[in-house]
Formats: sequence, structure tokens, C-alpha cells
Amino acid sequence: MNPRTSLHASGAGRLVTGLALALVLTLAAFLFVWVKPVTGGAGLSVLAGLAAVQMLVHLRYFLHMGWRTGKRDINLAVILAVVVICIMVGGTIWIMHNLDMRMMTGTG
Amino acid sequence: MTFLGRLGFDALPFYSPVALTGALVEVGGLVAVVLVVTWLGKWSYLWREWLTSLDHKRIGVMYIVLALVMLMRGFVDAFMMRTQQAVAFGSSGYLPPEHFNQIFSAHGTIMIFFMAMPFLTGLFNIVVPLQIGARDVSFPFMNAVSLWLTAAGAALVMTSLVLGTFSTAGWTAYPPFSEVAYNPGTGVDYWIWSVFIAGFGSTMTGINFVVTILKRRAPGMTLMRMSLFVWTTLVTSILMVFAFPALTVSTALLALDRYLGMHFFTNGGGGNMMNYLNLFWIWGHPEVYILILPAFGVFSEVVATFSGKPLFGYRSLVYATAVIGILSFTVWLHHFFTMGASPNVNAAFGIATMVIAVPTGVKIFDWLLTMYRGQIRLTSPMYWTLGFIVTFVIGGATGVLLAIPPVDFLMHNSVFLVAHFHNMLVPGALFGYLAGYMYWFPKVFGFRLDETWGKCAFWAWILGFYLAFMPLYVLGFMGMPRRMEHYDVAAWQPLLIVAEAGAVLIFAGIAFLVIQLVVSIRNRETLRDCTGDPWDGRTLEWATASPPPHWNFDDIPEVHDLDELAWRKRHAYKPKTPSRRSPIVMPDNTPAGLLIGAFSFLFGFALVWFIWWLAVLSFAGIFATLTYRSFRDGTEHLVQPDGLPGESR
Amino acid sequence: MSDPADTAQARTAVQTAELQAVEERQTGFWLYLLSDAVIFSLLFATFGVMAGRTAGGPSAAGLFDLTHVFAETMLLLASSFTFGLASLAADDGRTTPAIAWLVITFVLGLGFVAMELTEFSGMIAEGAGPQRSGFLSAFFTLVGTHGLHVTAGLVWIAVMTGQIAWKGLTGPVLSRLQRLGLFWHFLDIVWIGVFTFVYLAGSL
Repeated sequence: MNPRTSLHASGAGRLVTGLALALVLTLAAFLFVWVKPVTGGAGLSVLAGLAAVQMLVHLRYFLHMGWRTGKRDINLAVILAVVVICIMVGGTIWIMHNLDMRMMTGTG
Repeated sequence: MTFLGRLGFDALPFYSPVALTGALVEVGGLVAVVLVVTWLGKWSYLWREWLTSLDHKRIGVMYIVLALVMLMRGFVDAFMMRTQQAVAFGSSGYLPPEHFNQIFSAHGTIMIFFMAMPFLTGLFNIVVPLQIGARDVSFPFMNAVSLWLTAAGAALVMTSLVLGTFSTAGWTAYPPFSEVAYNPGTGVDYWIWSVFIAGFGSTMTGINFVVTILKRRAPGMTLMRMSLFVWTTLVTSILMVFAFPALTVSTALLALDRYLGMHFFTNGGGGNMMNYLNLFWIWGHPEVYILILPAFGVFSEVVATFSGKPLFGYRSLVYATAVIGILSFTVWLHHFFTMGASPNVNAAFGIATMVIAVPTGVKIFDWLLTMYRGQIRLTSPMYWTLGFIVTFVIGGATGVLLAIPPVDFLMHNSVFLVAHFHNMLVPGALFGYLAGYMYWFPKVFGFRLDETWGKCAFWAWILGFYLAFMPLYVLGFMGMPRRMEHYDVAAWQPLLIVAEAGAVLIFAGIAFLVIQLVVSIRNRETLRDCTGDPWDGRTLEWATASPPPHWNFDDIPEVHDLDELAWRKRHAYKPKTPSRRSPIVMPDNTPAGLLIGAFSFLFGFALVWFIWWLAVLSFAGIFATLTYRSFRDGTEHLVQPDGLPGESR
Repeated sequence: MSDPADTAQARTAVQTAELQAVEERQTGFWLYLLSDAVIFSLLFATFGVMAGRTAGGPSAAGLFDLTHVFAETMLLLASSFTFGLASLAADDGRTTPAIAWLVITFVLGLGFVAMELTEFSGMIAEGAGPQRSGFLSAFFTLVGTHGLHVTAGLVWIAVMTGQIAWKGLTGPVLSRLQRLGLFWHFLDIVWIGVFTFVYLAGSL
């Protein structure tokens, strides 16, 4: 693996695509909060969805990840990390929210 | 604040004659070591061959030396607690409460972070590159940094005995008691920084071994031809990479509360102390498997070798290890069932906990069936393995009991729990490490350990274990809470005296380990292993000399089978010696790892005592060492495998 | 080693080892990033737990200036893009453009840190500092940890610019630059989480 040749197969075009997609998604998120078509849980889900897509865009176009182009070990490690993070974050929110409900705290 | 922060003469341990004695013994021991090394004129040897070494085998040995030293310290703490509880019926015993609390906090912290972690990391270091047919780990320098960070953490705990006090908040440092409001002294700060620094070392160890195992396997060694110890190392390392961040976060947030007055876990100000338990155990439960899985790996190697058979159900052992690895991230709430979560939350985590018993049970059966109809040789590593199997099953059963939330409500915080986790970790971790120590010792030093003394140590340990901890199960049913400094229930005392007798036997076990080492060094010529394969082994580490050369293998072996060496013996396979060998690239020694460890120790010490200028300087020292190192290319030299060291690059 | 065949063999051995090292370091660095991602995830989770715990102090609604956050986001995104250009130049062996793009990335990153510090000092001056409530502790810690990472990235960019100027685009320098790139782009990903779940969700 020579770093001179292995990287940036498609070079600057790829960076520009990534930048354009990231800009559109960022603007969409900020505009969404400015307009507030929906709020509450539904609004948060929209924002979370936009963030997830933008994270994928960054991984693809800036960190050069991909199913075929990326390295298998790294792809597997990222997937494992996502699973672990979901367990930890989801578990934390679930456990602590449940406790707040039962203790009637968390808002004061 | 003065020049030395809050450090003054009152930091010396005059608060308790026992603590003063401990401090004197510790300082005396340190001075004695320095004098002996000076007297033998071994400083330059020590510096050249060990302290600056990047050789994974040397680093492994240093880890295990650290682990054994800390095992003694941790055991002394345990012995003092048992003695206090044996005498403190209706009286205050011989330890003041503040001191007793420090002792149980130090015992847990030391045994987990500075005995078990270095021990298993040392075994990884010694064994894994040899078993996968590699010349070193992927990142030899980072390996040294990990070692010295662990040592820096241990040094901080040891320093707390001489300067200031250690934490009284238990090894888990639960808030709000660990917050400044209730614990303003240096104790919790010592705990935070020693664990924080050592935790960084463990994360880096995890990264190092994942990459080593993924990238440095000898040609032909597919994943399913890796020995089980390599598999458990891989899964353990993955757990280290993903679980240790949670420890970093929980200790860092506690530090922010204590140092900057934030409100993560405080009583008031919107703090949520239960989130600390949540974060801590997100690390803490995978940590249990970080401690136990490597021991499972050792047992698998030992059982196969001394039964003269391939492992029964190798694939099921691999899958069981992987499943345990994933499930270990899903059970953390069982450490705080009594927090007040709703029944469905508790039930979910209780069920997940019980599920882990399934892959663990699979492993037990696999080991039993490996022995079935095997040509069993009852060597000392095998003794530890058999002792483990019997004892661990008892601990597992009490664990499944505690996984039932309503039962946990009755038993939590009692000595039943203490008995349970010692029942998991003494046989499930320590016996495994000791088996590994006796099994691989001849590989590292070229001579075997004395078998008789090894077996004596085993019997003392296992009988001592049963005597010390079975009474605690009973006492738990009788309602005795953990961490009691004194008590007024007459019925408890006889059982506590039995437990004390167990502690005495374990003390004998430790003494026998020391005697074994001394006797073996004295008789090393008769115990010498000239073949490189003293046990009729099955895996690659026995295919090279004992001790192996720096570069492990003159020619990287080609792998044909899971039990490669057994395969070679069966097929009378002799690898061809090439007519020309290309030179081997090996890393140069460097003091940078030791320096980073030393600066980290100073950094932690400065933060504990609020010596801000020293904190800034030592942090700058870490940064400067790393930057200097990053500007240097070609930190390797070439060796010619025929014995001639090549020229430096 | 006088034999020329020996010397050639030695050179091959060193080159093979170097190539393997580049590959291993990349994998190892990814693992570090994932480990760091777990740290950030737990800080996000903690922020989620603490979001309502304002202890009578200011809450997220009305506390944040979204224009300011949008400007910060643009700075960081632009710096990710310019770093990509620096990597491309470096891969082609063009030293001067590589250094120039790195300097621009550094300036953009510095602008981001300056804006963040302005926001922090403004909040502290208004009495909304990290000691005010659990919510604000979590806010400052999460956003500040990201800011510290960016600062560390800036120091690293400075060091690497020096290495390129001093040593040129050698194999080891390129391999380090590649890992620095991963780090810098990773921080931009974390920032997506920050502006979404801290600032935008708080203003929803």
C-alpha cells in the first residue's frame, strides 16, 4: 500500500461532491429549525436523520470509506463501533429517562 | 496556594501507626531495591536491557513483575481487612475507620487495575507474537508507553500510602460520597488520576493487540487457525478499545466536578449521581470479561497441551468468546439493580445477564470434553485449570442467582456479593494468570519452575480460597453488609475467624510462589529446557528456542494447521532453511516510553496536590517527548538472523 | 555489510517493513478514532441525560445564537475541504501547495476555536457558566472536549507543516499527514452531532 497511489482515486471531484452534499444537508438542518414545520420528537427525528446522512457523506467523501473501496478490517471495526455506541447511548438514555420518570425529576 | 499546592508535612501518615508502618515498609523496600541494584552494579544493564527495551517479551516480563509486586500489596490489604473483621466484634479492632476504608478501596483498585490488568497484558505481550509467528507487536513504542503509563498509575497508588491518604470511597468511587463536599482530601484524586492514566495505557494496549493480531499473523494462519489464547486476546483487546473510553469519561467527569465545581454527579445543582454508576459500569462490566477471557484462553492452551489432544469444540469456543464479548456490553445495569429502575428495565438486563452463562457453560463443557479420554499429565498449570473449573462453576451459579433482580434486592451490598465476585475473579482470572505464568515461564527464561512448590502453592491457594470465601456466602445470607469496620452480631464472628484462617492459607500460597521462584532459579541447570518445547506443546511459541531470540523466529514459520507444532510433529515436517536470509528490521531501544510514564506520574501527582506549575511542566514534557520522537525517522536497526547484529540505520 | 547483494536485500527489508508499518498505523489510528468516538458518544448521552437539569438556571431555548453556530459550522466544513486539498497536493508531491492549504486549514480552524471561545466567555459573563447547572456542565464539557480536540488538531497541523518544510514529503511524513487528515475529518463528523443535538435540538 503506497500512500502516494492508493488514495484519492478520483481526487478533487470527490472532495467537491462531498462539500456540496455537506453544505446542502447543513443548510437543510438549519433551515428546518428556522422554519420549524414540526417540533418535539418528530422534529428531533428529522434532525437526527439529517445528521446521520451527513455523517455518512463525510465518511464517504472525506474519510474515503466504502464497501468495496475501503479496507475490510476498518469497515468491520466501524460497524462494531456503531453497534456498541448504539447500545451505550440507547441504554443510557433509556435507563436514565426511566429513572427520571420514576423519581419525577429531571425537569427542575 | 503555596509553591507545593496543598502538599505539606501533614501529608505524612502519622494518623495511624499501621499506615506509618506500611509507608516505612514501602519506602524501605524501594530503598533496598535501589541499594541492591547499585551494589550489584546492574544499573546500566537494567537501563539497556529492560527499562528502555521495546522487545515485547521484556515488556511482558516487566508487566508481570509489576503485577506480582502489586499482588503482594493488594494481598496485604486483604489480610488486614480479614484480620480487622475477625477481631472487631463489639470492639473497634486495630484499624481506625478512615484507615479501614482506605484499605478496602486500595485493595479493589490495586487488584483490578494494577494486578490483574498488568498480569494479563504481560501474558499477551509474551505469548501473542510468538503464537502468531510474528517478530514483535505492531507498535513496539506504543507498547512501552502503555507499560509505563500502567506503572505510573501504580506508582501513584503506592505514593498515596506515604503522602496523603487514598480514597475512602471504594474502588468504584460512587458519588456523591466521592464529591468534594464529602471527600475533600487527596484520596479520591489519587484514585481518579491513577485509574485515568492506567486506563489510557490499557486503551493503547487494546489497539496494539487488535492490529498485531489482524496484521502480523504468519502466512497460512487464517483466523480459524489462531490458537484460542490469540482469540481471547483479540476479543479482550476489542473490549479494551471500546469499553475503556467509558472509564475515561466517568473519571474525567468526576474530576470536573471536583476540580472545576461542575454538577455532573453532585447532590444539588442539577447533578445526577446515578449517571456516574451508569457510565462507570458501561466500562465495568466489559472489564470483568477483559479480566476473565484471557484466563479462559490460558486454560484452553493448558488443557489441550496436557491432555495431548486438540481442543474439543474449537469453533464453539471461538464463537462463545465472541458472543461473550458482545453480550458483555449489554448487562451493565445488573450492577445497580437497586437504583430504582422500573421492573422491565431490570428484567431486560437480568435476562441478558443470565444469557451470558450459556456461552460460558459451553466453554466449561468444551474443556471437560477435551480432557475426556485424553492422556492427562497433571502438571502445575493443569492443577490451576482443574481448580478453576470446579470453583468457577460455583461462582457462576451464584452469579445467575444474583442476576434475578428480586434476589439481588435481598443480597446486594452484602458479603454474599463479595464472595460471588471473588469466586469469579480469583479462579476465573488469577488462577488462569498463574497457570499461564507457570506454563510459559520456561519459554521466557529457558528453565521450568519447580513443580512441587507450584503444586503446594496451588493447594494453599485453593483451600485458602474456599476457607476465606465460602463463609462469606453464609454471612451474606445472615445479613452481613460488605465493608464493615466493626459489628455487634456475635453469630458472625466464628465465620469471620474461619475466613481469616483462609487468608492465612492464601498467605502461605503467596509465600510458596516466592519459594518456587527462588528454588527454581537456584536449580535452573537441572530445570533447563534445551529443546524450546518442554511440555510437548502444540502451538507455534514452542517451535522456537527458549528463550527466543529478540526477533523470535529466524524464519517466519508457515502455518498449516490450528495446532501447528502438533501438525509438524505428526507429519515430521522440517521447514527448509533458506540459503540466504534477508536481514530483520527491529526497533531500537528508546527511553521515550519511560520518560512519558515518568511525566505522567508527575502530572497525576501535581493534579492531586494542586501543584499547577508542575502539572503544566509535566504535560509539556509529555508533549515534547512525543513531538521529538515524531521527528525521528528510522528508529530501527537491522539484525542478521545468523547471529550478527547488523548496522544501525 | 560490504556485499552489494546484502545491501540491496537490506534495503528491501526496510522498505517492506515501512510499507507494513503504514498499513498497520492506519488501522491502529482508525481504532483510536473509534475509541474516541465512544468517548464523544458517552458525552452526548450524558448531555441527553442532563439536558433538562437546569437547576433554575438558563435552559437551551434562547441560550444559543444559531447564526454564530452556523458560521462556526461553515469554518469547520471549509477547513475539512481545504485539508482534503492539502492531502491531494501532498499525494502528488507538490510541497508548496500542500503547505499553503495546511496553513489555510490552520487559519480556518483557529477561527473556529476563536468563535467558540467568544461564545463560551459570553455565556460565562451572562452567568451561564459550567458551574451553574448540570445542563451547563454537560454543555461546556461536550462542546469543550470537541474544542480541545480541534486545538490539538491545530497543534498537530503546525507540527506537520514544520515536518513537510523540513523533511519534504517523505513516506513517513505522508503517512502521518494521512492520519492527521483522518483526525481532522473525524472532528468535523463529531461537530455534525454537536450542532444537531446540542444547538439545533435545543432551539427546536
